[in-house]
Amino acid sequence: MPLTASIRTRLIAFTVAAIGITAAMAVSGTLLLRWTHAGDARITVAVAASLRSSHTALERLVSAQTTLQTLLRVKDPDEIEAGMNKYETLAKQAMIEIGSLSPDLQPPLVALDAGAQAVLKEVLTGNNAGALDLYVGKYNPLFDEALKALRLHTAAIERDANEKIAQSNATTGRIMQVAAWSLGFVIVGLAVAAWRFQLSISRPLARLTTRLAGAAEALNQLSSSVTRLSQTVAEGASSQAASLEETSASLEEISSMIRRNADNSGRAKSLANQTRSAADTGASDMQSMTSAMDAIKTASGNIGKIIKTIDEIAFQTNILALNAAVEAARAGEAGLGFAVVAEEVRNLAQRSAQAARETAEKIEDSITKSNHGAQISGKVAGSLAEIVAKAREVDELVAEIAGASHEQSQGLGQVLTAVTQMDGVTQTNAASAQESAAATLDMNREVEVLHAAVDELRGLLGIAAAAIAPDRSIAAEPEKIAAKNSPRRTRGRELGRIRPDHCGRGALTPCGKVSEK
Amino acid sequence: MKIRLILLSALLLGRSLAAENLSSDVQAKIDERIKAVTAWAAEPVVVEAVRAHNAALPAEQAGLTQDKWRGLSVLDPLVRSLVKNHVGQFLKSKKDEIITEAFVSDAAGLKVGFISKPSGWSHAGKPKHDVPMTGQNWQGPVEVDESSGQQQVQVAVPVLDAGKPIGSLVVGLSITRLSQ
Repeated sequence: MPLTASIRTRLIAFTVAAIGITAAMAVSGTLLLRWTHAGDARITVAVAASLRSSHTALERLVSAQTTLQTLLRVKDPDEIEAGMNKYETLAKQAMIEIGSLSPDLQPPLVALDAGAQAVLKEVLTGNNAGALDLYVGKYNPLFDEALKALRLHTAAIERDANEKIAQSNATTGRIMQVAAWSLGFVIVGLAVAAWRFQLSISRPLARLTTRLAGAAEALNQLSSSVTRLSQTVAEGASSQAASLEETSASLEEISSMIRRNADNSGRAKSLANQTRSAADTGASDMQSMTSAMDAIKTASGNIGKIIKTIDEIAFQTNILALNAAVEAARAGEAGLGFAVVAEEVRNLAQRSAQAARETAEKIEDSITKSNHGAQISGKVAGSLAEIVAKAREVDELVAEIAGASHEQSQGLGQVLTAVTQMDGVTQTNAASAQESAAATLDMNREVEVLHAAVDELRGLLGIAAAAIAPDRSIAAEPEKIAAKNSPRRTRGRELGRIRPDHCGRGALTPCGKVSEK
Repeated sequence: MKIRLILLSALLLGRSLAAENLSSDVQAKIDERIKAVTAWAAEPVVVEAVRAHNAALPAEQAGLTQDKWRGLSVLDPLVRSLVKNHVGQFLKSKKDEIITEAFVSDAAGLKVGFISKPSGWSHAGKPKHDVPMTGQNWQGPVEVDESSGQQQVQVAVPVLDAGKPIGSLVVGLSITRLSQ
């Protein structure tokens, strides 16, 4: 900034000084030229006036001559009179004007007028031929003399004017010589000042250009490094995304396994509950069965008693039948039918006694078997009690397994959260790498701009352009990185798409179920 | 200057010689002009003026000789009166670029009126007057007007009064103009 300000200040000061000097020179030159032109103009005006007077006088003379010549051919008195008046007027004006030019012009004019009068005299007498002779022989030589005198006068005027112009030119030349020397000194001074001025600007600018070139080169190298680092980061992000994908797949499998474990543990717990309930029911039924067995046993005893009673009844009935047979036999024939009934009753009594004995045996066997069943049911009750105890242990173990599955699910959820965060970080890293690559590309462009600016600055300073060229291969790196990042970002998006599936139908839901339990 | 005079004289001489051979075309135009001039001479203003001049010479013209006439200026009142009288004005009214001069003389050859001052006061004894006085037209040779340098020819016709010549009318015609 101090250099820029200094350059601006110097530029303004130099420009103002140059403009001021140039303006002063221009004003001086203009005034000088105007003064010289004014002098030349005065001379020119004076000469022009003199020449114009001479030419006017010459014109009058020629007009008078023409009028006189016309009069030679005119015979009409009216026309002659008019022509003579015109001639007199023109001649008088010519005499006055020429007489005012120089006294030396008077004698030839007087002689010319005398000649003209002689011609007019002949014209007036109608002797046009004599007038023509006088005109040719006398007037024309006098006219030539007058013209000669007038030309001499004009030549004297021109000579005088030329002398004055020569003097003016000499004066102007001397002034212009002085002005040229002054202008030369000013130009040399300005050139020296400009040379020193450009040195005072170009040297710091050259140093600044060198520093800028160095900075551009360093920036170029830094850009290369950043590009390579971006590439490394991008590759790392890609690898990380692949690992995350694999991790996600493994987590999905683990989640499935945990879900199955949770389901199995749930079913096992339910079965354990059912088993324990069945065992409890079995034990209760076993007690009921034992009681029933005891009741059967008691009933069997009661039945034995009944059977005994029936046997006794059958025995009594048999005796009675025998007594009836005896009585029937006594009754003879009349008791014959009765004897048959008594026989049948006796058979029935015997069959009842036989059935009672067999029933008693069977009841005995049943009681024996009931006792054996009671013993077995007692053993079964014991086994059932043991089964219940084991079922409770199994229930507790399944509960512990379910809790562990829940904890596993929670842990897996945390792992998935961590994976999600890692995926986000990976995506952020990939995006950052891409942005970094893009920024590197921009940086390369800026480096090129900086190089171009440095080269332009060097060109302005007349220094050979530096052979610093931006690494073109680096410029292509961002595209490569972007190409590499694109699939990785796709995998990352796929990973993000997988993650909700894990949470939706994966381990988290069963874990939720476990936690609800 | 002498050389110029010699050259001019040679030119005039050459033109004079050349004028002897007028072309038929120019001569025809001269003849037409003669007819016109004859008509002018028959105009009453001309005839009456000549008749009056023959009858009585104006007092201011009495004693006027040839030498006195030559000494008179064209601006002299006597000369101007002969230009401004009826005959002079009539002739002036007829003047065109072909007519270089015109004057009317009485029977004695003295001037009755004219356009411009003639060189002589009396043309008596000259063919341009004597021939018309015989009742004949006259055509002179081609001459060169030294003042203008133009070729011209003079023609003269009689001024008749009841068929009798009482004067003459001389008109100068420019051959240069007639030839154009």
